[in-house]
Order: sequence, then C-alpha cells, then structure tokens
Amino acid sequence: MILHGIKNIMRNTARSISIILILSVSIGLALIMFLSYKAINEKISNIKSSIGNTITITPAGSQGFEGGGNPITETQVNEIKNLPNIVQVTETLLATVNPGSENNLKSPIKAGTLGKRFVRFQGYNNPNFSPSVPIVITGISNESTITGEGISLTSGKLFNPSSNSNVGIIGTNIASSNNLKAGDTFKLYNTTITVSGVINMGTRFANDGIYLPISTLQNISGQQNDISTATITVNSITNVNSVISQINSKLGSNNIDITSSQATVSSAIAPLESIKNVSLYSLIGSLIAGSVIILLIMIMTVRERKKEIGVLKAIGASNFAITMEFVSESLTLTIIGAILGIIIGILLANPVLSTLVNTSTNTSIQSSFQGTGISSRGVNPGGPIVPSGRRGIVFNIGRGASRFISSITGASTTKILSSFKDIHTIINFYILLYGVLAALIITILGSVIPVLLISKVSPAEIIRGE
Amino acid sequence: MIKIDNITKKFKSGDSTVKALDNVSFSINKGDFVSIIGKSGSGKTTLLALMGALEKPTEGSIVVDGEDITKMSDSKLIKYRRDKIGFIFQQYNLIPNLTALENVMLPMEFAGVKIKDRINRAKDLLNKVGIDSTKQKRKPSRLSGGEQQRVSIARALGNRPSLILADEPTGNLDSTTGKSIITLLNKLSKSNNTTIIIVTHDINMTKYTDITFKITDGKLSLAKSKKDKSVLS
Ligand SMILES: Nc1ncnc2c1ncn2[C@@H]1O[C@H](COP(=O)(O)OP(=O)(O)O)[C@@H](O)[C@H]1O
Ligand SMILES: [Mg+2]
Repeated sequence: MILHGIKNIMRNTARSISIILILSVSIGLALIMFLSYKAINEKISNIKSSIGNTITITPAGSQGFEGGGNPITETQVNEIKNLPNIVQVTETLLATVNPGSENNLKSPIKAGTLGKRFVRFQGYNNPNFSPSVPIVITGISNESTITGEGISLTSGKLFNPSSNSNVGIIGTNIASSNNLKAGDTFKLYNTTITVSGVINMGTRFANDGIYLPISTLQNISGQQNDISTATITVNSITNVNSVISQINSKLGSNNIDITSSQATVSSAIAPLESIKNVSLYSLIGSLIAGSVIILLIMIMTVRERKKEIGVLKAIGASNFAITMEFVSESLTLTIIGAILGIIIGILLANPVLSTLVNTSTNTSIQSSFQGTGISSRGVNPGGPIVPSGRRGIVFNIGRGASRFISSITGASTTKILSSFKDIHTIINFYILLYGVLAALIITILGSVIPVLLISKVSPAEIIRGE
Repeated sequence: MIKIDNITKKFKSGDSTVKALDNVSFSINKGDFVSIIGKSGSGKTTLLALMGALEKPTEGSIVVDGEDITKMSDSKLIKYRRDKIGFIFQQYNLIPNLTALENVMLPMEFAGVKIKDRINRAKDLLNKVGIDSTKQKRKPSRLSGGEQQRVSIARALGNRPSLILADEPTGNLDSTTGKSIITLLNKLSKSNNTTIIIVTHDINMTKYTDITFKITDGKLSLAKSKKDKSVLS
C-alpha cells in the first residue's frame, strides 16, 4: 500500500509539484527559524553566562566623572574580595589629564562647537578661546577590560595589569595624533610612560583613551588606594543576588552603588530575545502552514477518491492499509518538499539570521546609546562637576563620555552588541534530521482529520451509489 | 454452507423507516451458482451488502462456514471480507491508476501474499478469464467494459474466496458480452466449486444458474431450482 501511495503522486503531477514547492518553502522557513532560534538562544546563554554574572561597584552617587562623593578604596575592595562565590574582582580607576608640559600629549579630540559653547557657558567668555580637551586615562587591574570581542591590539603587546611599571596601552586615535608606536615614550603627571601597545577598542571615544596598570595610575596621579569602579565576577548567575547583599552588608549601601550586569545584559539582549520569539513563532507558523496545506490536500484527495476507498474496503482492505496509502502519499510529497526545504534552509539560514539580528540590533545600539546619554544627564542635571585638585578641569565630553563610562561601568553593552555581529547558525548533519522531523510533524498534524474521514467511508453506500 | 435466518434490514430516512429486507431466510450449499432477480429498489444490493459484511442486519443471523458474521468483531470482519468474499460490481470499480495486473494483485497484497506469488497468481487468473499479457499491463481506462469486468472477476478470485458476490455484473454490458461473463462465472463455479451469487434484473441471466430467487419489496421467494433442492427454510 505504501508503494501505491507513492505512485499516487503521479496521478496529478501538476498538483503534486505545486504542493512540493509550497511545502519546501514552509519547511525551509521552519528550518531557518529553528536554526536561528537555536543560534540566538545559544548566544543569549553565552552572553548571560559570560557577562551576566558580574556586579559593578561604584562610589555612591557617582558615575564615571559625574556626581560627587568619595571614591571607593582598595581597602574596601579587599574586604569583599574573599566573599564566597566571587571568582574575580576587576578594578578600574579613571583619571583625566589636560595636555601640557606635565603631559606631553595632544588630545585627539577637537572641542568643536559643542565643546566651545560649553566652555563659554562655564565662564571662559572668550570666543577665541580654543580649549584643549582632556585625555581620559583608565587604570586597569585585569586584562578583561581591554580584551574581548570587538577589541584588538593593533601593535605591541598587553602589559601585566598587576604590575606597577610605567607602561601603557594607547588608543589608536591617541597613537595617530601623537605619532606614537609601541616602544615610544610619553609623559603623564611628569612621569615617562613607555607605549607597550596600541589598541583598537572598537568605539571612537575609547580609542581616544590611555590604559595603564591600576597601580601605576594610582602612583603617578597620587590616588593611592582609590578605585573608581570594581567589577566583580560571580561564579554563577544564581549567586549574583546573594553576593550583592553580602557586599551591601560589608560596605554599607550608603557608601557604594551596586549595579548588577543582569539588568544591562537583559536590556542589551532584549532585541535578541525578541528575534528569538519571532523565530519561534515563525517556526510554529510555518509548521502549521505546512500542516494545513497537507490537511487540505488530503481532505481533497480523500473526497475525490471516496469511491475508491469504499471499493478497497469492500475487497478486504483495512482502514490502516488505506490510511497508510494516503499517509505515504503525503509523506512522500512532504519528504521531497523537505529535501528542497533543507537546501533552502542551508542556503538562507545565515543570511536571514544576520539580517534579522542586524536590523533589530542596529536600532537597539542607537537607542541604547541614546538611553545611556539621557540617563546620565538625568543623574547630573546641573552639568559637570569640577572636582578640586589634581584632576584639573573636567569637561563634560558629552554623550561620548557617558557612552564610555557606561561601557566600562556597566557590563559593556558595546561588547555585547558587537558580539551579535558574529552570530551564526550551525549547519551540520542534524539539519537533515530536523528537516525530516519537520516533514513528519507536518504529515502527522495534516493527516489526523483525513484519517478520520477515511474510516467514516461506508463501503455499502459506495456500492449502492452505482 | 450459507444459512440466512430471518434477516430484516431497516433504513431510517427522515421520519419514516424503509424495510429494505423483510424477514428473509434461505440456505445454499458450497458450489451453488445462485441468481437473485428483482426490480430496482427491491433490496438486492442490500442483501449482498449484508452477506459481504459491509453492513449489519437489523435482525437475524447470517452463518457462513459455521460462523455468524453478524456477531463478528471489526477486525475479524476485515479478514472475512478479504479471505472469504469476492466482490464483483456493476461498475467494475477497478482502481484507475493501477494496471489490470496490479488490480488483481491488490486483495492478495492485503492478505500479505508474497510479491512473487502475487504476480504469478494474478497472471494465471487473468489468463484464465481471457486477458492476455499485453492487456494485463494496461490501465482500466484502456480496456473495454467486458475486459474490465473480466479483470474484476480475476480480482475477486485472488484469495480463493468461498463466496463470490456479483451485483448486476452484466448491467453495463451488451447482451453478448454479458452472456460471456455469465458463462465465465458458471465455468468458475463448476471448476473451483466456488459458491457464486449474482444479482440481476435480467431474467435471461437466470437460465445459467442452478437456483434462482425472486425478491420483491424486500421479500424473498424461490423462483426455480435445477437441482430440486429445498432451499427455503
Ligand atoms: N442508506 C439507505 N437509507 C435509506 N434507504 C435505503 C438506504 N439504502 C437502501 N435504501 C432503500 O432500500 C431499498 C433497497 O435498496 P437496494 O438494496 O439498493 O435495492 P436494489 O439493489 O434492489 O436496487 C430501496 O428502497 C432503497 O431506497
Ligand atoms: Mg442495487
């Protein structure tokens, strides 16, 4: 009977071909969506497990250069370093210097209209005044701050972040505006620093910066013991909240602000989550569409061949045998459709996925930057704070600063978003299995009602109908 | 070998009930060639459908080879139809996309006969009913009515049934062809000792059969018996 079913395909070739084409599109789509779903899901869990388990501690009421209060100290960090479930603590210290004799560097940033207007507003009411923009220096205790996806060392090598030697990594923009390369030296706080490498951080603002071992920066800037941000990696996402409460009880929630990266991560991966849902719905939708096609076709054929079914029953066929004939007919159509669908899936899965991811993350990159820009202004409605002492005049470098700060204080939204770019579906032998699985699901779903119709056909009515 | 006892078949159509068969009883022996004659609507097809287990009677019993088919389970009924009964229809009812040979092989396929044996037996049967090997490869649409009916006879014989039920087998054929079909059935019944019941409204066909029943408005009566047997019980 199975062979008869397969042969039956030839009874109406035009119809069979169109069914196969429609099914191949629906199976192809189902596969693409399934592969995308899997790839996105994997990405999400990667991101969550690699970044979602971090906690950031900043001094209460401040973010980056903005806000007031006292910096957190190495002493405080040491108090919490040995709490259970903490895997790693990464400390950063931010400082800014103005180009000058103490610091023989040119800022790669032009103040521009916004900068000048801002300086005038600050009281330097001289239209010809052309301010030089300060340079941001970041002290780091761990390589992870300047490594990762989207970041590359263009020359030289990384320094040992736990040393206190006078070495530094400079952003590509600093390197080009000062003609510096690995091995050259420059001066910061009157101290000679050797360029150990040039780094491309992936964003223009971060490429305008300089990175030093945190001890070095503490020493030369006279900020011994100070830390701007401590990023704590917890061994598992599930322990993040307990670690947060332990830190709060150790350090007192009045002295520090704690941000868990989970919030950042979930807002950063929100577009991925929505594509994931879209692909899930499309997967289900295309399977249902395929099933409905098979359902309608089978209902049509059962009706058309009602008399034949009655005759087969009268000459001794079981319902099962007749059902097998019809199911094998539609299964064959679906499998041919699946083979074509698999080809479509293999060819289009990656292009479709990257289109999906790119269109929705491009908008989200913009909105997330705008979001941080607005929110840090909100925190700081009165404009920039000009701290006293050695840090000198601090410009509000505008949205760029917020961007940069949020990217190191938060869980590097930029890193996450740029990692979306290399999302790929995994195409392997299993795609065949999934294709066949899709075909089976479609056939089974599409066959239930026709099978009932087959069992309802009465052979007596058929022979009397003559 | 077939004993029909007081069967009644009622159909409900709307408010009224139609008695298609009214208290019918008869018995026939193995190898009998039986005709049932009656006008259209008299209940002939209904009687065949009951004997072929396509329907159940409202009342009464049908005992074939010692088993009451009105009390059989569905799965036993499928086997009964497959192994004991051969159906021949007025419209031939061959499967249009299968060749003559494949049509004949079909009931044997349901019975699980091996493909080689199926082919051999189907060829044998087709040769016996006068369909040569070139015509065996043809689809029904390329065979004449008489040829199609011969193929359907061969199909009915596939599983060596003990009872062949033919519902107006000559109804669509001209009288010469019809005659040749009846002679063929007669020959088969004699050579294989197969019981054959044909239903017809053509009085001419009754002269080939051993026993003839007449059916009028669902009531059965004996019209003629060559063997002079007592068949009405
Ligand atoms: N499914 C049914 N519902 C109602 N009446 C039926 C049904 N089948 C048959 N009948 C009636 O039963 C009677 C006998 O029908 P049938 O056995 O087909 O007659 P015949 O084959 O002798 O022409 C007819 O009056 C017919 O209308
Ligand atoms: Mg009839």
